[in-house]
Amino acid sequence: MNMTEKKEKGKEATIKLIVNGEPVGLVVGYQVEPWHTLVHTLRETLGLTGTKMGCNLGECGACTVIMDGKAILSCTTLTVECDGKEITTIEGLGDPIRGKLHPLQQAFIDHDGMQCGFCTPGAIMQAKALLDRNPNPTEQQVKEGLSGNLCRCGSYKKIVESVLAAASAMRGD
Amino acid sequence: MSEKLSVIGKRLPRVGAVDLVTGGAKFTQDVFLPGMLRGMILCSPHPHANIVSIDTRRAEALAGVKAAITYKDVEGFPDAIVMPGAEPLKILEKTVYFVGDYVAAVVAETEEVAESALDLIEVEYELLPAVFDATESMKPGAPVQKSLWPGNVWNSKEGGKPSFVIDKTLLTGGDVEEGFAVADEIVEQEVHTQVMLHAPLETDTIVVFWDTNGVCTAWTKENPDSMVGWLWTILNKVYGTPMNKVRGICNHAGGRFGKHVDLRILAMAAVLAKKTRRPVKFQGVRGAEYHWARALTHSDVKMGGKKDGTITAVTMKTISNFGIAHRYPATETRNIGRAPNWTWKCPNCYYENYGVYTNISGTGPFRGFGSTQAHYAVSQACDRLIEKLGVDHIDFYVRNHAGAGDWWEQQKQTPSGLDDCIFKAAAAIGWKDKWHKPGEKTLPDGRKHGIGMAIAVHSGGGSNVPAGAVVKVNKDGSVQVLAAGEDTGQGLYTVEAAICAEELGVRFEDVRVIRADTESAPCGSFSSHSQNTCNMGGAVQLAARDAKKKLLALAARELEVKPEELEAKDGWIYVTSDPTKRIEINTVTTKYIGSNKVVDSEPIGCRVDGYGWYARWENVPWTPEEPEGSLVPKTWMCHMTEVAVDTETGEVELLNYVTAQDVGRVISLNTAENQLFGSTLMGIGFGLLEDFVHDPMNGRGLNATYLDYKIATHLDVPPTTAIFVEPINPNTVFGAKGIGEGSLVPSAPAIAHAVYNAIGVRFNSTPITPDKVLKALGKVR
Repeated sequence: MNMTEKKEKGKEATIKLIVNGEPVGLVVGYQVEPWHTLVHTLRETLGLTGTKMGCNLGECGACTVIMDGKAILSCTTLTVECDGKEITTIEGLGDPIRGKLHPLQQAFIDHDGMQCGFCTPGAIMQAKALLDRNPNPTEQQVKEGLSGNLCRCGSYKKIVESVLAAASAMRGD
Repeated sequence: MSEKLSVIGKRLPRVGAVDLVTGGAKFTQDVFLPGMLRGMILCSPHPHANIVSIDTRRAEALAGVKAAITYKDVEGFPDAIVMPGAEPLKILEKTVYFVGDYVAAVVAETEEVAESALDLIEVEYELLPAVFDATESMKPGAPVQKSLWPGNVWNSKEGGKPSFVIDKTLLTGGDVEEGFAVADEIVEQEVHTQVMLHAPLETDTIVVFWDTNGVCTAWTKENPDSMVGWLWTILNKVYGTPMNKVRGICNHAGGRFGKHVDLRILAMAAVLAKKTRRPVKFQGVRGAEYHWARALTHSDVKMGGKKDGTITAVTMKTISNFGIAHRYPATETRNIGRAPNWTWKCPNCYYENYGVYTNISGTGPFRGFGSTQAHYAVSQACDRLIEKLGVDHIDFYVRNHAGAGDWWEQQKQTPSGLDDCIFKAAAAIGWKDKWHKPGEKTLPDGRKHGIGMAIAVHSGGGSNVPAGAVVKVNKDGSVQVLAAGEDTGQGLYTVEAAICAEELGVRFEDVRVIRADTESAPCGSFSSHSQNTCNMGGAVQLAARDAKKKLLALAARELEVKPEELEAKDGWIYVTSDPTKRIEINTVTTKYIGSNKVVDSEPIGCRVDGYGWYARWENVPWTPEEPEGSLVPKTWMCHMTEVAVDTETGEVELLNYVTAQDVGRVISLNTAENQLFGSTLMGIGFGLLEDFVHDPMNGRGLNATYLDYKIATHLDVPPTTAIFVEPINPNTVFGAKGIGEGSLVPSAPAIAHAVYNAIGVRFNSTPITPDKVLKALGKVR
């Protein structure tokens, strides 16, 4: 990131992201301010409201998205720090309009891994990152991997069942 | 009956699940309207003060700020009242009553600008004396909180008089003194419960918009009809708005657990939206989300019993710290009194409650409302009495709990499934083999093993809140349910779809429930008191029955039989005596609905929509002829748990947990299990983790963020067995009871008794945190 240098040359600084496979350019000072968090940009600038904001303090995990293959908290990430990054949000999983769901999404439906569902997108993104690096996790590994994704409804038992079922389906068991 | 059911009790996909897993669900937080302004609230830094002067001119001059509101803008407006008997609150007032009380609000183009503007509001305060502790606030000479109750005690015009009393002996002819006189053993102790926060993942968010026709639309997490009713009382007085121009929407709600919309913020949003002619959004800020929490209580409980294990008398005096206001004081004080009174067969019970105002944030309903604090206290007495009398835990509870024919307030109780809950839970955990004397068992890793149990009873759904529903049958045989009860995660829409499908005889997947909107549905009942399975479910059942009657009349023409000979199931209508004679529902609907054909000189086109209206009148007095006719069902629970207590760290681990609940009948198995697990876990949080602390110097709430206020995570979930006991209730929809709250209640006492069984130390206060355990063991000061 060398915003200062770009500005010196009289050009506008643009943050380039790839969001759910699509390139996105955001002009600094217009579409993105230096204090904007990624969750703010996703929800309020790009209209991707599937990513939720539960605490805005990095405590609850509702805003979890995947950046360059790693689950991150988008409420404690500044958008201007994401230049050149590839980001996947819940909207980028599966293809719900055509009725195609990601195995994690299907498993959360089949095992009722939710109640109010506010934490669900964050939990699914966290689970995706987990399964991408460990396709065959134990129950304890799932619990530890998702321990930063709070669910006040207490649907934890069925969330774990959902993730394990999805893991099994993705492995083709 | 159950083998005939095709939908009820099955594992059904949650209604709305696809929206939730794809990010398509629109929570109030996700509502973004063109031109929408963002609001922020200036809160009081003082616990009690008069505003001498307030000047918003500098704030309003900031670029991007569109309007500000102070008490001066709402003088003469009606109070923000949500419940008769509750302390009336002004939208904004010249006096502030706690740290965090609302002083002013600003709306601006962005949240950042609105927040910056708050710093530019100039306020001069005159400090007033404040009091934070309920006992202090009751003393003569304490600073007066509200002019309505000069002694700071709700519903008490004279000093020293309680807010609420239950004297069971007036109904039973019993005698409390005599009860204690004949007791072989008596136990007495003080019990303290903490302030508990709802802490739903979605903060309280409100979006309000006025259109050019003068219609005020509000998106909230609240039941839209309740919300419209409250808001209308203000808008009508101020702007002359009729009720048909106030619209409420509750699309997806990110958890509530008893926390209702803050009418003061809603009113400010409506006023500011009107003033700016722009949509206005107030999104709650984590850390400032602690209003209307579960009230802190101190109880003095006393229980006597005979050597055979029979309870002879129970008394309890409870002081509840209401903070600056309580949203439902009558329900809280009444519900607390149910634990020492109506839970037991014992005729000699007495309870009094003092609901006390102080300068801390207000209190209100919370899942397991009142029962949570009360059963912790009463259960402490039970476990001590059991030990003193030397009787068996299970025998004690089976012998003493109330059941069919015993008093419940002015009525007689319906049958209880508690005995089954107790026996099944005991079998599941292996109670008889695992119970030991306190402190006797050490695990191989050096930790102390303990086992404990508790029972509880809570409102099991259905109340005197009436509910309406429409079942709309389409030409292709698909169905919409229009019902304005809000699904806050408990699974109400799944329950409504199941009830509609079963009653109407269509397939579950052919029913679509329209998310709550006062523009599309008749007046609904709010999700509270665990009432909506019975209330909204009851209305949907009656609406489906109404539609079915019309549908069968049409099918009868096709099958050339009488309508009474027909039944509908799984999308087919068939002759009961000869099920091979049948017709598919969509064949009937396609032919008749909206048809312009004429058959035998008669137009056949019609609609087969159904309408249902359900009301259960809780307060109809009991009569010998109608012992159960008007009684709201109660849900009974038994929890048992095994713990390991680390005497070096003070940590309590739950090794095993059994949660058994009398649910009447399971309507939707997935959502019912999730409610049982979730409610139990929230109770575990109350018992072990959660504690909202107010600064004793100024009453400021200190720990409303998730970092400081610990709610259970994946790693806090014990291996849990859920048991449903289903004594089909004759008076409710398919025999169901409301189940969402009850299982929060016995968790904390079951854990406390297990900890006692492990280390021989009683905990008279919740939560049982490692520091308290170490202190009790004398390992830290």
